[in-house]
Amino acid sequence: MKGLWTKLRRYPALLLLMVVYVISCGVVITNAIRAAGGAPGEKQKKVLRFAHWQLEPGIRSAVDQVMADYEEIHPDVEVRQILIPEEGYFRWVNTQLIGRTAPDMIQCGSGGVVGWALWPKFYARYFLALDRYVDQPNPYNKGTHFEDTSWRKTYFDEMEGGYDESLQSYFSVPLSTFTVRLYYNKDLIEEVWGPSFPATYLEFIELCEELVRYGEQAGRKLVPIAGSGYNFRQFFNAYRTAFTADYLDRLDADYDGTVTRVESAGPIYSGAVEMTEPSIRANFELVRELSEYFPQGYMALDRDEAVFLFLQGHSAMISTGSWDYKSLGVQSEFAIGVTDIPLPSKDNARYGRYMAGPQTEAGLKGGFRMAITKVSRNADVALDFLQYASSLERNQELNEAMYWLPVIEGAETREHLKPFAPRIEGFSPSIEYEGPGAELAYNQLLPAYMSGKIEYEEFAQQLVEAYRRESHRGVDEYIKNNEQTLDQQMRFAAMRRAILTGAKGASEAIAGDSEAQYKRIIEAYVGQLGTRNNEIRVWTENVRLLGHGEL
Amino acid sequence: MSRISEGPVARVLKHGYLWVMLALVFMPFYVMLVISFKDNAQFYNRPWVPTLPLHWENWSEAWNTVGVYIANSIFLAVTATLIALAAAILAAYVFGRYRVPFGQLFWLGLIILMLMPGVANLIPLFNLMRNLNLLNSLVGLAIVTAAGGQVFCLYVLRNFIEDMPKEFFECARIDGASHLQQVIHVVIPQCGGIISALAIMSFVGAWNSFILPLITIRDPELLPLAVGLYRLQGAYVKQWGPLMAAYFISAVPLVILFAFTMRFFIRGISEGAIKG
Repeated sequence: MKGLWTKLRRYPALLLLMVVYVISCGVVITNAIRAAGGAPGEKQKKVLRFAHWQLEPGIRSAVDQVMADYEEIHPDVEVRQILIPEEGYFRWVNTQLIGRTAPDMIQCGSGGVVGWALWPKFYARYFLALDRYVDQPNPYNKGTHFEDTSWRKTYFDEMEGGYDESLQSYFSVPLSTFTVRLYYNKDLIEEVWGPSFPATYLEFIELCEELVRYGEQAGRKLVPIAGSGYNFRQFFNAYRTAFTADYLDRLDADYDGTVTRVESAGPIYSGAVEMTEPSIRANFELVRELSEYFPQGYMALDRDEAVFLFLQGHSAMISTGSWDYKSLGVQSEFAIGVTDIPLPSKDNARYGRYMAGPQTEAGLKGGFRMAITKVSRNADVALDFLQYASSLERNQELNEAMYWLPVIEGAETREHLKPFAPRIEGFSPSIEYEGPGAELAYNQLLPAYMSGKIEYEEFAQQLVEAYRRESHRGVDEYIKNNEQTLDQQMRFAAMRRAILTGAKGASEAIAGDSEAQYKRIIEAYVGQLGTRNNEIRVWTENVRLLGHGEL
Repeated sequence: MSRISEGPVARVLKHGYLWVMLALVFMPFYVMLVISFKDNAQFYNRPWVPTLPLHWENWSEAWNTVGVYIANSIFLAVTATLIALAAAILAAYVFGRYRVPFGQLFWLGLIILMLMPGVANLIPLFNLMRNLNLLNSLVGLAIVTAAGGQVFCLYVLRNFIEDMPKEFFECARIDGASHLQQVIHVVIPQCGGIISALAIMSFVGAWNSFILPLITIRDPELLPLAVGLYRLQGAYVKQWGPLMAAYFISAVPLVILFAFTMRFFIRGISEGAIKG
C-alpha cells in the first residue's frame, strides 16, 4: 500500500484524476438512486418528469412552486422539470418517444410545419387520450363553483386547446394562453413622441420617422422596430389578415368558413387569384414600407437578437407574444408599454380601401399544453398533477407567477396583462401564400423583396413560377399526409367500435363515453374526407383552368 | 542578419506580436469573466466592461448547474477511456503478436469501422441501445463511447506492439509469464508514452462528445457537460451571467488536465514520430 502511495505521489495528475473520479462516481450513483425514486429500503417515491421548452425567466420557478405545492400534499410523489431549448425540442421529443424513454408529461405543439403534420401521429401512437376524464369534474376544484362542473367546461375555450380535431380526442391539458402585441419603450416614446402611443397608422409611421431622426441627432443608431425572422412573421400575419379577409368568399370552395392551403394554392397556381391583385400587392407593399424601420438584415436575425436590440434601447418597439411580458419587464431598465399592432384606417388614402380590420382572437385556444405519454409508469399521478395545475386556484397562481394568461374561466389575470386580453371582433386569415411545395421559394423570395433586391413584379412572377414548378409534388405530398391522418382516424374509430361491441381488453383502450366518441370521430372522418375531396377537386379544376400540367 | 533580428525594433515587434496573440487567446476568457458578474440588464447595457454591483450569485448558480454535468463528464470520460484502452491494449497485443485465422480480415473490418463517420451509425446505434436498454444511462453511454473510441487506439497500438523486439516477449515467456502478465509487464511499460497520449485523446473525445448523449440521455441530472451547456445556451432568453460563469467553470477541468499531462502527450506523440 505504501509502495502504491509512493508511486502515485510521482503522478499528481493521476492522483487528482482518481480522486475526482471517485467523487464523480458518488455523484452519478446518488443521482441514479434519486432517479429511481429513493435509496433502497427508503419509501420509494413516484417520480414524475415534466418536459417543456419554456425557459424564459420566472417560468421555471413558477412551475417549481406548483410542483412543490403538489409534493406537499402528495409526499410520495416527486415532480421534476426537464427544460429543453425550443430550437431542438421537437427533435428531442421525437427521439425520446421512439426510444421509449419519454418523460411522463410532454409539452406539445413545437416543430413548425413538420410538427404540425406529425403531432396527430404522435398523439395516436404515444400519448394517452384523456376523453374519459375531461367530462368528469376536476377533483381539485372541490369547494369552488366548479365543484360539479366537468373539467373541460372549466376552461375558457372548453379545453379546445387540448383537443385534436383530426383524431377527435383530448390529448393535452392546456395551462396558459397567449396573444401577440406590440411592446414599446415607454420612456423613449415619451421623449421622442409624447405621453401617449400613436393612435393611427399614419401617426405610427411618423413616430418611426421621428425615432430615426432622433437617433441621427443623438449620434446613435436607433432602429424603430426590433425585428427578426421570428418577429417579422407575427407582424406580417396581422397585416395579411387585415388586407385579405375578403378572399374568404373567393377561396373557400366548400363553404366551411376556412381556407385550406390547397384552396389557397390552387387559384394562385392557375392565376385565378393573381399575386398582383391590388389588396395582395398592398399587403406586401405595406409590410415592405414598415420593414424600412426594422434593423438591416432582420430576416436573418434570431429571436434573441431582436430582444437584445430592444432591451439595449437600440430599438423602440418589438412585436412579440404575452409569453415575453415578464422576461422583457425583468431585463429592461425602462418602462414597457403594450399596444395593438397599428393598422391603417378605412380613410387611409393608400391602403384604406383594402382594409377589412384586425385579426380576430375569438378562436383563441389554450397553450402550454401538456400531454401524458403511454410509457409513463405513473400516468394516473401525472393526470392528477395536471388536474391540480389546471384547477381554478392553482392555475391562477401559476399564471400570476409566470405573468401569463390563465386558461380557467374566472381565474384572475394580472392587471399588467389586460392589454393582452383576446380581441373578439375581427377577421380570420383567408389566404396562405406558402402553398404546398412553394414554401422554400416563398421564404427565399420574401427576404429578397423586403430588402429591396427585387421589385414586387419580379417577386410575384417568380413566386407564381415556383407554384407552377413545385406545386404538383407539394400538393401530392400534402394530400398523402392528410390521407395518413384519415387512416389513423379509422383506426381510432375501430377501437371505439370495439369498445361498443364489448371486445375483450377494448375497454382499456380509449374513451369513457365511447358511443359519443365513436359518433364524433366518424363525423370528423366524414368531414375530413369531404375536405380532402374538395381539395382534390379544387386542385384539379385549377390545373384544368391553367390548361396544362399533369395531376 | 542576426544583429537585425536581435535589434530593439525586432524585439518590440516580436514581443508586440506575442502580446497581441496572447490578448486574442485570452479575449474569450476576459469576456466570460466580465459577463459572469453581470445581471442581464447590466449585460444588455454595458456588455464589455466591468460594472457594479458584482453578481457573485451567478457563480453559485452556475456551479449548482454545471457541477453535476462536470461530475457526469468525468465519470463518462474516465470510464470510457479505461474501457477503450483495456480493450484496445489486449486486442492490439493479439493482432500485433500473433497470427490468427482470418486475422487480416478482422483487422480490415476494424479499419473500415474507423473510416465510417459516427453520424452514419447513429440510427442503428440508437436502436441497438434501445434494445439493450442502455438509453438514458451514463454506463450505457460510456460503453458505446468506448466501443467507438477503441478502434483508433487499437490501430495505433498494434503498430507499436508489432515493432517491439520479440526478445522482450520471449524472455517473459521463459520466465513463465502468461499472456496477461506479458501485457502488464512488457507491453504497458514499453508503450507508456503512446498509451498516455491515447488516454488523453480518448478522454478529450469522450469529454467533448455531443451527438450521442444529446439523443440518448433524457434526464438533466445525467447530462454530460457539452449537452448540458448546449441546453443552457439554447434558452431563448439567456441568463448571460450564470451562463458565462458556467462556461468558465467548465473550461477549468480541461485546463488542469492539459497542465498536468502535456509532457505525457508530447512524449507519446514524439515516440510515434520516431517510430514512424
